[in-house]
Amino acid sequence: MLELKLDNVSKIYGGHRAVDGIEYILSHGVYGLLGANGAGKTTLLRMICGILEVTEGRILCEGTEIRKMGAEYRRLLGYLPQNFGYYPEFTARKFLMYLAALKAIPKREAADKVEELLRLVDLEQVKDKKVKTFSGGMVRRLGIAQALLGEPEILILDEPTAGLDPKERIRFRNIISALSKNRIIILSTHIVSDVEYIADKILLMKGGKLLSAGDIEHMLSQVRGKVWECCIRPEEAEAYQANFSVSNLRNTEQGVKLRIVADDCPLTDAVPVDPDLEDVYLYYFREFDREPLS
Amino acid sequence: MVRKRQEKIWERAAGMKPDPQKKKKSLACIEEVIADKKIHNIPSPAELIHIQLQYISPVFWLLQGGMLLLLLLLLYQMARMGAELADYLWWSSIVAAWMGILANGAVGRYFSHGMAELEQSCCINLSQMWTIRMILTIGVDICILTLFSGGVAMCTNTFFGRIAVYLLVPFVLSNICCLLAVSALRGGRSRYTLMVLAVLAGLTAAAPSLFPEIYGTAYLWVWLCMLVLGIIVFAAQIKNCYGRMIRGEMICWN
Repeated sequence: MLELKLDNVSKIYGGHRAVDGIEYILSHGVYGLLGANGAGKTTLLRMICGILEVTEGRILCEGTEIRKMGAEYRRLLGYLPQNFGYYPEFTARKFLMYLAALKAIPKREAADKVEELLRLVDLEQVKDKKVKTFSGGMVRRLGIAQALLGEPEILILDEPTAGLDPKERIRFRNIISALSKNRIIILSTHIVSDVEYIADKILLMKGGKLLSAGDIEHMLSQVRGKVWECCIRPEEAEAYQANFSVSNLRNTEQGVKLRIVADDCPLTDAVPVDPDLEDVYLYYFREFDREPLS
Repeated sequence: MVRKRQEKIWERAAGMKPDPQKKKKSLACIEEVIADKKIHNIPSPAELIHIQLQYISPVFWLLQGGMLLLLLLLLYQMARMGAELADYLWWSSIVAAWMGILANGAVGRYFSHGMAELEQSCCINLSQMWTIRMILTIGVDICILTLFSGGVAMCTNTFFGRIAVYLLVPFVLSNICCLLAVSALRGGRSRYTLMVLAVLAGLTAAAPSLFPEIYGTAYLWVWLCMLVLGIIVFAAQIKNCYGRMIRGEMICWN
Protein backbone atom coordinates (compact mmCIF):
# COMPACT_ATOMS: atom_id res chain seq x y z
CA MET A 1 0.00 0.00 0.00
CA LEU A 2 1.37 3.37 -1.05
CA GLU A 3 2.37 5.56 1.85
CA LEU A 4 3.20 9.23 1.95
CA LYS A 5 4.81 10.51 5.11
CA LEU A 6 4.95 14.16 6.10
CA ASP A 7 7.80 14.33 8.53
CA ASN A 8 7.78 17.62 10.46
CA VAL A 9 7.21 19.58 7.23
CA SER A 10 7.57 23.37 7.39
CA LYS A 11 7.72 26.16 4.88
CA ILE A 12 9.15 29.48 5.99
CA TYR A 13 8.89 32.68 3.93
CA GLY A 14 11.11 35.31 5.48
CA GLY A 15 10.20 34.90 9.11
CA HIS A 16 6.65 33.70 8.44
CA ARG A 17 5.83 30.01 8.85
CA ALA A 18 3.28 29.32 6.11
CA VAL A 19 3.34 25.63 7.05
CA ASP A 20 4.49 24.74 10.51
CA GLY A 21 5.82 21.32 11.46
CA ILE A 22 3.21 19.04 9.94
CA GLU A 23 3.48 15.37 10.84
CA TYR A 24 1.12 12.95 9.18
CA ILE A 25 1.06 9.69 7.27
CA LEU A 26 -1.23 9.35 4.27
CA SER A 27 -2.18 5.99 2.82
CA HIS A 28 -4.96 4.95 0.44
CA GLY A 29 -8.15 6.94 0.72
CA VAL A 30 -9.67 10.36 0.25
CA TYR A 31 -8.31 13.09 2.50
CA GLY A 32 -10.19 16.35 2.86
CA LEU A 33 -7.86 19.21 3.71
CA LEU A 34 -10.00 21.89 5.31
CA GLY A 35 -8.95 25.33 6.33
CA ALA A 36 -9.68 28.99 5.88
CA ASN A 37 -7.93 31.04 3.21
CA GLY A 38 -4.30 31.51 4.17
CA ALA A 39 -4.22 28.43 6.38
CA GLY A 40 -1.31 26.99 4.37
CA LYS A 41 -3.26 24.37 2.41
CA THR A 42 -1.94 25.34 -1.02
CA THR A 43 1.63 25.63 0.25
CA LEU A 44 1.41 22.17 1.79
CA LEU A 45 -0.02 20.68 -1.40
CA ARG A 46 2.69 22.33 -3.49
CA MET A 47 5.31 20.78 -1.25
CA ILE A 48 3.65 17.37 -1.53
CA CYS A 49 3.75 17.77 -5.31
CA GLY A 50 7.46 18.61 -5.14
CA ILE A 51 6.88 22.00 -6.76
CA LEU A 52 7.89 23.94 -3.69
CA GLU A 53 10.96 23.13 -1.65
CA VAL A 54 10.42 22.12 1.96
CA THR A 55 12.24 24.48 4.34
CA GLU A 56 12.31 22.04 7.26
CA GLY A 57 11.43 18.36 7.50
CA ARG A 58 10.94 15.78 4.77
CA ILE A 59 8.24 14.28 2.60
CA LEU A 60 8.73 10.57 2.06
CA CYS A 61 7.04 8.33 -0.45
CA GLU A 62 7.45 4.68 0.48
CA GLY A 63 10.34 5.74 2.70
CA THR A 64 12.23 7.67 0.01
CA GLU A 65 12.43 11.43 -0.04
CA ILE A 66 10.36 12.73 -2.95
CA ARG A 67 13.08 15.14 -4.10
CA LYS A 68 15.40 12.19 -4.60
CA MET A 69 12.75 10.22 -6.49
CA GLY A 70 12.37 12.96 -9.12
CA ALA A 71 10.47 11.81 -12.22
CA GLU A 72 9.69 8.47 -10.60
CA TYR A 73 7.61 10.35 -8.01
CA ARG A 74 6.08 12.78 -10.49
CA ARG A 75 4.88 9.79 -12.49
CA LEU A 76 2.65 8.88 -9.55
CA LEU A 77 1.17 12.36 -9.36
CA GLY A 78 -1.96 13.96 -10.69
CA TYR A 79 -2.30 17.60 -9.71
CA LEU A 80 -4.90 20.29 -10.13
CA PRO A 81 -3.45 23.62 -8.98
CA GLN A 82 -5.63 26.26 -7.39
CA ASN A 83 -4.75 28.75 -10.13
CA PHE A 84 -5.18 26.35 -12.98
CA GLY A 85 -3.76 27.89 -16.15
CA TYR A 86 -3.99 26.85 -19.76
CA TYR A 87 -2.68 27.89 -23.13
CA PRO A 88 -5.66 29.80 -24.49
CA GLU A 89 -5.07 28.88 -28.12
CA PHE A 90 -5.15 25.15 -27.37
CA THR A 91 -8.34 23.15 -27.85
CA ALA A 92 -9.48 20.95 -24.95
CA ARG A 93 -8.25 17.85 -26.75
CA LYS A 94 -4.90 19.37 -27.69
CA PHE A 95 -4.44 20.57 -24.13
CA LEU A 96 -4.98 17.10 -22.73
CA MET A 97 -2.77 15.53 -25.40
CA TYR A 98 -0.04 18.02 -24.48
CA LEU A 99 -0.24 17.13 -20.81
CA ALA A 100 -0.38 13.44 -21.67
CA ALA A 101 2.89 13.93 -23.55
CA LEU A 102 4.39 15.65 -20.48
CA LYS A 103 3.19 12.73 -18.38
CA ALA A 104 5.05 10.41 -20.76
CA ILE A 105 1.92 8.56 -21.83
CA PRO A 106 2.45 6.91 -25.25
CA LYS A 107 0.56 8.79 -27.96
CA ARG A 108 -1.88 6.03 -28.96
CA GLU A 109 -2.75 5.24 -25.37
CA ALA A 110 -3.07 8.96 -24.66
CA ALA A 111 -5.56 9.51 -27.49
CA ASP A 112 -7.94 6.89 -26.06
CA LYS A 113 -7.50 8.11 -22.50
CA VAL A 114 -8.13 11.73 -23.50
CA GLU A 115 -11.40 10.78 -25.21
CA GLU A 116 -12.44 8.80 -22.14
CA LEU A 117 -11.65 11.66 -19.77
CA LEU A 118 -13.39 14.23 -21.95
CA ARG A 119 -16.50 12.03 -21.75
CA LEU A 120 -16.08 11.66 -18.00
CA VAL A 121 -16.04 15.41 -17.37
CA ASP A 122 -18.72 16.07 -19.98
CA LEU A 123 -16.54 18.07 -22.35
CA GLU A 124 -16.75 15.70 -25.30
CA GLN A 125 -19.01 18.01 -27.29
CA VAL A 126 -16.56 20.90 -27.02
CA LYS A 127 -13.29 19.00 -27.32
CA ASP A 128 -12.28 20.83 -30.48
CA LYS A 129 -13.13 24.27 -29.15
CA LYS A 130 -10.41 26.56 -27.86
CA VAL A 131 -10.06 26.58 -24.09
CA LYS A 132 -10.22 30.39 -24.06
CA THR A 133 -13.90 30.15 -25.06
CA PHE A 134 -14.73 27.95 -22.04
CA SER A 135 -16.66 29.06 -18.97
CA GLY A 136 -14.99 28.90 -15.52
CA GLY A 137 -16.75 25.63 -14.71
CA MET A 138 -15.66 24.05 -18.00
CA VAL A 139 -12.05 25.08 -17.41
CA ARG A 140 -12.22 23.54 -13.95
CA ARG A 141 -13.59 20.31 -15.40
CA LEU A 142 -10.77 20.29 -17.93
CA GLY A 143 -8.40 20.71 -14.99
CA ILE A 144 -9.92 17.70 -13.27
CA ALA A 145 -9.56 15.67 -16.48
CA GLN A 146 -5.89 16.52 -16.84
CA ALA A 147 -5.23 15.57 -13.22
CA LEU A 148 -6.64 12.12 -13.93
CA LEU A 149 -4.38 11.52 -16.93
CA GLY A 150 -2.01 8.62 -16.44
CA GLU A 151 -4.10 7.08 -13.65
CA PRO A 152 -2.12 8.72 -10.87
CA GLU A 153 -1.68 6.93 -7.57
CA ILE A 154 -1.47 10.23 -5.75
CA LEU A 155 -4.14 12.69 -6.77
CA ILE A 156 -3.86 16.21 -5.39
CA LEU A 157 -6.70 18.60 -6.04
CA ASP A 158 -6.50 22.17 -4.80
CA GLU A 159 -9.94 23.77 -4.63
CA PRO A 160 -11.28 21.45 -7.33
CA THR A 161 -14.89 22.56 -7.06
CA ALA A 162 -14.28 26.32 -7.32
CA GLY A 163 -16.56 27.59 -10.07
CA LEU A 164 -18.57 24.40 -10.43
CA ASP A 165 -22.35 24.51 -10.24
CA PRO A 166 -24.21 22.13 -7.85
CA LYS A 167 -24.78 19.51 -10.55
CA GLU A 168 -21.12 19.59 -11.56
CA ARG A 169 -20.13 19.37 -7.89
CA ILE A 170 -22.15 16.20 -7.44
CA ARG A 171 -20.68 14.77 -10.63
CA PHE A 172 -17.19 15.60 -9.39
CA ARG A 173 -17.87 13.96 -6.02
CA ASN A 174 -19.02 10.81 -7.76
CA ILE A 175 -15.92 10.74 -9.96
CA ILE A 176 -13.65 11.07 -6.93
CA SER A 177 -15.56 8.40 -5.00
CA ALA A 178 -15.21 6.02 -7.93
CA LEU A 179 -11.48 6.71 -8.12
CA SER A 180 -10.72 6.47 -4.43
CA LYS A 181 -9.72 2.79 -4.44
CA ASN A 182 -5.97 2.13 -4.25
CA ARG A 183 -5.11 5.81 -4.41
CA ILE A 184 -4.18 8.67 -2.17
CA ILE A 185 -6.52 11.54 -2.98
CA ILE A 186 -6.03 14.87 -1.23
CA LEU A 187 -8.76 17.43 -1.68
CA SER A 188 -8.16 20.91 -0.42
CA THR A 189 -11.13 23.15 0.09
CA HIS A 190 -12.81 25.55 2.41
CA ILE A 191 -16.22 24.27 1.36
CA VAL A 192 -17.12 21.65 3.93
CA SER A 193 -19.82 19.93 1.89
CA ASP A 194 -17.26 19.12 -0.82
CA VAL A 195 -15.54 16.63 1.43
CA GLU A 196 -18.27 15.66 3.86
CA TYR A 197 -19.60 12.81 1.74
CA ILE A 198 -16.46 11.49 0.12
CA ALA A 199 -13.52 12.02 2.47
CA ASP A 200 -12.31 9.10 4.55
CA LYS A 201 -10.20 11.40 6.68
CA ILE A 202 -10.40 15.09 7.42
CA LEU A 203 -7.35 17.25 8.06
CA LEU A 204 -8.01 20.62 9.62
CA MET A 205 -5.37 23.29 9.05
CA LYS A 206 -5.05 26.67 10.64
CA GLY A 207 -2.14 29.11 10.69
CA GLY A 208 0.08 26.57 8.93
CA LYS A 209 -0.53 23.95 11.63
CA LEU A 210 -2.49 20.74 11.55
CA LEU A 211 -5.20 21.33 14.16
CA SER A 212 -6.89 17.99 13.99
CA ALA A 213 -7.05 14.92 11.81
CA GLY A 214 -9.20 11.85 11.71
CA ASP A 215 -12.21 10.24 10.12
CA ILE A 216 -15.52 12.06 10.02
CA GLU A 217 -16.92 10.19 13.01
CA HIS A 218 -13.86 11.15 15.04
CA MET A 219 -14.24 14.79 14.03
CA LEU A 220 -17.93 14.81 14.85
CA SER A 221 -17.30 13.21 18.22
CA GLN A 222 -15.11 16.16 19.13
CA VAL A 223 -18.03 18.57 18.97
CA ARG A 224 -20.78 16.23 20.07
CA GLY A 225 -22.69 17.97 22.85
CA LYS A 226 -21.42 21.33 21.70
CA VAL A 227 -24.01 22.06 19.02
CA TRP A 228 -27.28 23.56 20.14
CA GLU A 229 -30.52 24.69 18.63
CA CYS A 230 -32.75 27.32 20.10
CA CYS A 231 -35.49 29.70 19.13
CA ILE A 232 -35.18 33.39 19.92
CA ARG A 233 -36.99 36.63 19.16
CA PRO A 234 -35.94 38.30 15.86
CA GLU A 235 -34.58 41.40 17.65
CA GLU A 236 -32.20 39.20 19.68
CA ALA A 237 -30.65 37.54 16.63
CA GLU A 238 -27.95 40.13 16.08
CA ALA A 239 -26.73 39.96 19.67
CA TYR A 240 -26.57 36.18 19.55
CA GLN A 241 -24.63 36.26 16.32
CA ALA A 242 -22.13 38.64 17.87
CA ASN A 243 -21.63 36.50 20.96
CA PHE A 244 -21.85 32.95 19.68
CA SER A 245 -20.64 30.89 16.75
CA VAL A 246 -23.87 30.59 14.82
CA SER A 247 -23.70 27.91 12.17
CA ASN A 248 -27.23 28.44 10.92
CA LEU A 249 -30.01 30.97 11.27
CA ARG A 250 -33.53 30.45 10.00
CA ASN A 251 -36.63 32.59 10.30
CA THR A 252 -39.65 30.59 11.39
CA GLU A 253 -43.16 31.45 12.55
CA GLN A 254 -42.11 30.93 16.16
CA GLY A 255 -39.14 33.26 15.83
CA VAL A 256 -35.54 32.89 14.70
CA LYS A 257 -34.15 29.39 14.92
CA LEU A 258 -30.44 29.38 15.67
CA ARG A 259 -27.88 26.62 15.48
CA ILE A 260 -25.07 27.48 17.84
CA VAL A 261 -21.69 25.88 18.33
CA ALA A 262 -20.60 26.43 21.92
CA ASP A 263 -18.98 24.47 24.72
CA ASP A 264 -21.75 25.36 27.16
CA CYS A 265 -25.48 25.62 26.72
CA PRO A 266 -26.03 29.12 25.35
CA LEU A 267 -29.67 29.44 26.47
CA THR A 268 -31.79 27.62 29.01
CA ASP A 269 -34.19 26.27 26.39
CA ALA A 270 -31.46 25.36 23.89
CA VAL A 271 -31.39 21.67 22.98
CA PRO A 272 -28.29 19.72 21.96
CA VAL A 273 -28.39 18.40 18.40
CA ASP A 274 -26.25 16.09 16.26
CA PRO A 275 -23.26 17.93 14.82
CA ASP A 276 -22.27 17.95 11.19
CA LEU A 277 -18.91 18.72 9.61
CA GLU A 278 -19.76 22.39 9.22
CA ASP A 279 -20.19 22.61 12.96
CA VAL A 280 -16.78 21.00 13.43
CA TYR A 281 -15.26 23.53 11.04
CA LEU A 282 -16.93 26.40 12.83
CA TYR A 283 -15.93 25.05 16.23
CA TYR A 284 -12.27 24.93 15.29
CA PHE A 285 -12.14 28.09 13.28
CA ARG A 286 -14.06 30.30 15.66
CA GLU A 287 -13.08 28.81 18.97
CA PHE A 288 -9.51 29.99 18.69
CA ASP A 289 -10.39 33.48 17.46
CA ARG A 290 -12.72 34.32 20.25
CA GLU A 291 -12.60 34.51 23.99
CA PRO A 292 -15.09 32.13 25.56
CA LEU A 293 -18.24 33.84 26.79
CA SER A 294 -19.02 33.81 30.43
CA MET B 1 28.08 -33.74 -21.09
CA VAL B 2 25.67 -30.89 -20.44
CA ARG B 3 23.58 -31.96 -23.39
CA LYS B 4 23.28 -35.50 -22.07
CA ARG B 5 22.11 -34.17 -18.70
CA GLN B 6 19.56 -31.97 -20.38
CA GLU B 7 18.27 -34.90 -22.39
CA LYS B 8 17.89 -36.95 -19.19
CA ILE B 9 15.94 -34.12 -17.55
CA TRP B 10 13.61 -33.90 -20.52
CA GLU B 11 13.11 -37.66 -20.50
CA ARG B 12 12.19 -37.58 -16.84
CA ALA B 13 9.97 -34.52 -17.31
CA ALA B 14 8.03 -36.28 -20.08
CA GLY B 15 6.80 -38.81 -17.58
CA MET B 16 5.74 -36.17 -15.05
CA LYS B 17 2.35 -34.55 -14.89
CA PRO B 18 2.00 -31.21 -13.11
CA ASP B 19 -0.59 -30.96 -10.41
CA PRO B 20 -3.45 -29.05 -12.10
CA GLN B 21 -4.31 -27.19 -8.88
CA LYS B 22 -0.74 -26.06 -8.31
CA LYS B 23 -0.38 -25.11 -11.97
CA LYS B 24 -3.55 -23.02 -11.79
CA LYS B 25 -2.35 -21.35 -8.62
CA SER B 26 1.05 -20.57 -10.10
CA LEU B 27 -0.51 -19.12 -13.25
CA ALA B 28 -2.87 -16.98 -11.17
CA CYS B 29 0.12 -15.65 -9.21
CA ILE B 30 1.97 -14.83 -12.44
CA GLU B 31 -1.10 -13.09 -13.87
CA GLU B 32 -1.47 -11.04 -10.70
CA VAL B 33 2.14 -9.90 -10.85
CA ILE B 34 1.75 -9.01 -14.54
CA ALA B 35 -1.45 -7.07 -13.84
CA ASP B 36 0.22 -5.11 -11.04
CA LYS B 37 3.27 -4.34 -13.12
CA LYS B 38 3.15 -0.84 -14.52
CA ILE B 39 4.91 -0.36 -17.79
CA HIS B 40 6.33 3.11 -18.04
CA ASN B 41 7.25 4.92 -21.15
CA ILE B 42 10.55 6.75 -20.85
CA PRO B 43 10.76 9.28 -23.67
CA SER B 44 14.07 9.56 -25.46
CA PRO B 45 15.69 12.99 -25.98
CA ALA B 46 14.48 12.85 -29.60
CA GLU B 47 10.91 12.29 -28.39
CA LEU B 48 11.24 15.20 -25.95
CA ILE B 49 12.36 17.47 -28.79
CA HIS B 50 9.47 16.18 -30.89
CA ILE B 51 6.99 17.02 -28.11
CA GLN B 52 8.42 20.51 -27.91
CA LEU B 53 8.34 21.06 -31.65
CA GLN B 54 4.76 19.84 -31.80
CA TYR B 55 3.49 22.32 -29.25
CA ILE B 56 5.53 25.43 -30.05
CA SER B 57 3.14 28.23 -30.93
CA PRO B 58 2.76 28.89 -34.69
CA VAL B 59 3.29 32.61 -33.96
CA PHE B 60 6.81 31.78 -32.78
CA TRP B 61 7.62 29.99 -36.04
CA LEU B 62 6.12 32.86 -38.07
CA LEU B 63 8.21 35.44 -36.21
CA GLN B 64 11.31 33.28 -36.44
CA GLY B 65 10.73 32.81 -40.16
CA GLY B 66 10.19 36.55 -40.48
CA MET B 67 13.59 37.21 -38.88
CA LEU B 68 15.31 34.80 -41.25
CA LEU B 69 13.58 36.36 -44.24
CA LEU B 70 14.54 39.83 -43.05
CA LEU B 71 18.20 38.82 -42.79
CA LEU B 72 18.16 37.21 -46.24
CA LEU B 73 16.55 40.29 -47.79
CA LEU B 74 19.05 42.49 -45.99
CA LEU B 75 21.97 40.46 -47.29
CA TYR B 76 20.62 40.53 -50.84
CA GLN B 77 19.82 44.24 -50.86
CA MET B 78 23.06 45.35 -49.21
CA ALA B 79 25.14 43.16 -51.52
CA ARG B 80 23.38 44.72 -54.52
CA MET B 81 24.10 48.20 -53.21
CA GLY B 82 27.73 47.31 -52.45
CA ALA B 83 27.25 48.45 -48.83
CA GLU B 84 30.00 48.89 -46.25
CA LEU B 85 30.40 46.58 -43.21
CA ALA B 86 28.87 49.17 -40.85
CA ASP B 87 25.73 49.32 -42.99
CA TYR B 88 25.29 45.57 -42.79
CA LEU B 89 25.84 45.63 -39.04
CA TRP B 90 23.42 48.51 -38.46
CA TRP B 91 20.39 46.49 -39.52
CA SER B 92 21.54 43.02 -38.65
CA SER B 93 22.41 44.04 -35.06
CA ILE B 94 18.79 45.17 -34.62
CA VAL B 95 17.51 41.84 -35.96
CA ALA B 96 19.99 39.94 -33.73
CA ALA B 97 18.66 41.81 -30.68
CA TRP B 98 15.08 41.01 -31.68
CA MET B 99 15.99 37.36 -32.05
CA GLY B 100 17.23 37.32 -28.47
CA ILE B 101 13.97 38.81 -27.25
CA LEU B 102 11.94 36.37 -29.31
CA ALA B 103 13.88 33.35 -28.05
CA ASN B 104 13.40 34.22 -24.38
CA GLY B 105 9.91 35.51 -24.90
CA ALA B 106 8.98 32.07 -26.21
CA VAL B 107 10.56 30.45 -23.16
CA GLY B 108 8.72 32.90 -20.91
CA ARG B 109 5.48 31.59 -22.37
CA TYR B 110 5.66 28.74 -19.86
CA PHE B 111 5.14 31.19 -17.05
CA SER B 112 2.65 33.51 -18.66
CA HIS B 113 -0.53 31.45 -18.51
CA GLY B 114 -0.28 29.94 -15.05
CA MET B 115 0.87 26.67 -16.59
CA ALA B 116 4.25 26.52 -14.87
CA GLU B 117 2.93 24.97 -11.66
CA LEU B 118 1.10 22.26 -13.52
CA GLU B 119 3.98 21.52 -15.89
CA GLN B 120 6.45 21.31 -13.02
CA SER B 121 4.37 18.50 -11.48
CA CYS B 122 4.49 16.39 -14.66
CA CYS B 123 6.86 13.53 -15.37
CA ILE B 124 8.67 15.63 -17.97
CA ASN B 125 8.78 18.75 -15.90
CA LEU B 126 9.22 22.44 -16.56
CA SER B 127 12.97 22.48 -16.03
CA GLN B 128 13.42 19.79 -18.68
CA MET B 129 11.06 21.49 -21.12
CA TRP B 130 12.77 24.80 -20.50
CA THR B 131 16.19 23.31 -21.24
CA ILE B 132 15.02 21.78 -24.50
CA ARG B 133 13.26 24.96 -25.58
CA MET B 134 16.32 27.07 -24.73
CA ILE B 135 18.62 24.79 -26.69
CA LEU B 136 16.22 24.70 -29.63
CA THR B 137 15.50 28.40 -29.93
CA ILE B 138 18.92 29.78 -29.05
CA GLY B 139 20.60 27.08 -31.14
CA VAL B 140 18.51 27.92 -34.20
CA ASP B 141 19.21 31.64 -33.73
CA ILE B 142 22.95 31.10 -33.41
CA CYS B 143 22.92 28.99 -36.59
CA ILE B 144 21.03 31.70 -38.48
CA LEU B 145 23.35 34.45 -37.22
CA THR B 146 26.45 32.38 -38.03
CA LEU B 147 25.25 31.72 -41.57
CA PHE B 148 24.40 35.38 -42.02
CA SER B 149 27.87 36.32 -40.74
CA GLY B 150 29.32 34.02 -43.39
CA GLY B 151 27.28 35.80 -46.06
CA VAL B 152 28.38 39.24 -44.89
CA ALA B 153 32.01 38.05 -44.67
CA MET B 154 31.89 37.01 -48.29
CA CYS B 155 30.29 40.27 -49.44
CA THR B 156 32.65 42.55 -47.47
CA ASN B 157 35.84 40.49 -47.55
CA THR B 158 35.98 40.53 -43.78
CA PHE B 159 36.93 37.66 -41.47
CA PHE B 160 33.76 35.73 -40.68
CA GLY B 161 34.56 35.33 -36.97
CA ARG B 162 34.77 39.10 -36.54
CA ILE B 163 31.28 39.63 -37.91
CA ALA B 164 29.93 36.77 -35.82
CA VAL B 165 31.29 38.49 -32.69
CA TYR B 166 29.67 41.84 -33.67
CA LEU B 167 26.30 40.13 -34.13
CA LEU B 168 26.44 37.81 -31.15
CA VAL B 169 27.03 40.70 -28.73
CA PRO B 170 23.57 42.32 -29.24
CA PHE B 171 22.03 38.84 -29.38
CA VAL B 172 23.49 37.76 -26.03
CA LEU B 173 22.78 41.11 -24.36
CA SER B 174 19.14 41.11 -25.45
CA ASN B 175 18.87 37.52 -24.18
CA ILE B 176 20.10 38.69 -20.79
CA CYS B 177 17.63 41.59 -20.63
CA CYS B 178 14.69 39.50 -21.74
CA LEU B 179 15.46 36.61 -19.40
CA LEU B 180 15.74 39.09 -16.56
CA ALA B 181 12.31 40.54 -17.38
CA VAL B 182 10.73 37.11 -17.85
CA SER B 183 12.18 35.61 -14.68
CA ALA B 184 12.09 38.50 -12.26
CA LEU B 185 9.06 40.58 -13.16
CA ARG B 186 5.50 39.38 -12.91
CA GLY B 187 4.48 41.55 -15.86
CA GLY B 188 7.70 40.75 -17.68
CA ARG B 189 6.04 37.89 -19.51
CA SER B 190 3.36 39.99 -21.12
CA ARG B 191 3.37 40.64 -24.83
CA TYR B 192 3.55 44.40 -24.25
CA THR B 193 6.61 44.22 -22.03
CA LEU B 194 8.33 42.09 -24.65
CA MET B 195 7.42 44.61 -27.37
CA VAL B 196 8.84 47.48 -25.32
CA LEU B 197 11.96 45.41 -24.70
CA ALA B 198 12.29 44.67 -28.41
CA VAL B 199 12.15 48.39 -29.26
CA LEU B 200 14.70 49.30 -26.59
CA ALA B 201 17.02 46.42 -27.50
CA GLY B 202 16.78 47.32 -31.20
CA LEU B 203 17.68 50.97 -30.51
CA THR B 204 20.58 49.99 -28.26
CA ALA B 205 21.89 47.48 -30.80
CA ALA B 206 21.76 50.09 -33.57
CA ALA B 207 23.58 52.75 -31.52
CA PRO B 208 27.18 51.55 -32.19
CA SER B 209 26.60 51.96 -35.93
CA LEU B 210 26.50 55.73 -35.35
CA PHE B 211 30.22 55.42 -34.64
CA PRO B 212 31.47 53.13 -37.46
CA GLU B 213 35.06 53.22 -36.14
CA ILE B 214 33.86 51.00 -33.26
CA TYR B 215 33.70 48.15 -35.77
CA GLY B 216 37.41 48.60 -36.57
CA THR B 217 39.94 45.90 -35.68
CA ALA B 218 41.34 48.16 -32.95
CA TYR B 219 38.18 47.72 -30.93
CA LEU B 220 37.68 44.03 -31.60
CA TRP B 221 39.03 43.10 -28.17
CA VAL B 222 36.29 45.24 -26.57
CA TRP B 223 33.63 43.33 -28.51
CA LEU B 224 35.23 40.03 -27.57
CA CYS B 225 35.31 41.00 -23.91
CA MET B 226 31.65 42.04 -24.05
CA LEU B 227 30.72 38.75 -25.66
CA VAL B 228 32.58 36.64 -23.11
CA LEU B 229 31.20 38.70 -20.25
CA GLY B 230 27.70 38.47 -21.72
CA ILE B 231 27.93 34.70 -22.03
CA ILE B 232 29.13 34.41 -18.41
CA VAL B 233 26.29 36.61 -17.14
CA PHE B 234 23.74 34.72 -19.24
CA ALA B 235 25.01 31.36 -17.97
CA ALA B 236 24.82 32.64 -14.37
CA GLN B 237 21.29 33.87 -15.03
CA ILE B 238 20.22 30.49 -16.37
CA LYS B 239 21.77 28.72 -13.37
CA ASN B 240 19.92 31.08 -11.05
CA CYS B 241 16.65 30.44 -12.89
CA TYR B 242 17.07 26.69 -12.55
CA GLY B 243 17.70 27.03 -8.83
CA ARG B 244 14.61 29.20 -8.40
CA MET B 245 12.56 26.82 -10.51
CA ILE B 246 13.62 23.79 -8.46
CA ARG B 247 12.92 25.63 -5.21
CA GLY B 248 9.58 26.73 -6.63
CA GLU B 249 10.26 30.45 -6.24
CA MET B 250 9.93 31.11 -9.95
CA ILE B 251 6.76 29.05 -10.24
CA CYS B 252 4.68 29.80 -7.16
CA TRP B 253 4.22 33.56 -7.22
CA ASN B 254 1.44 33.66 -4.66
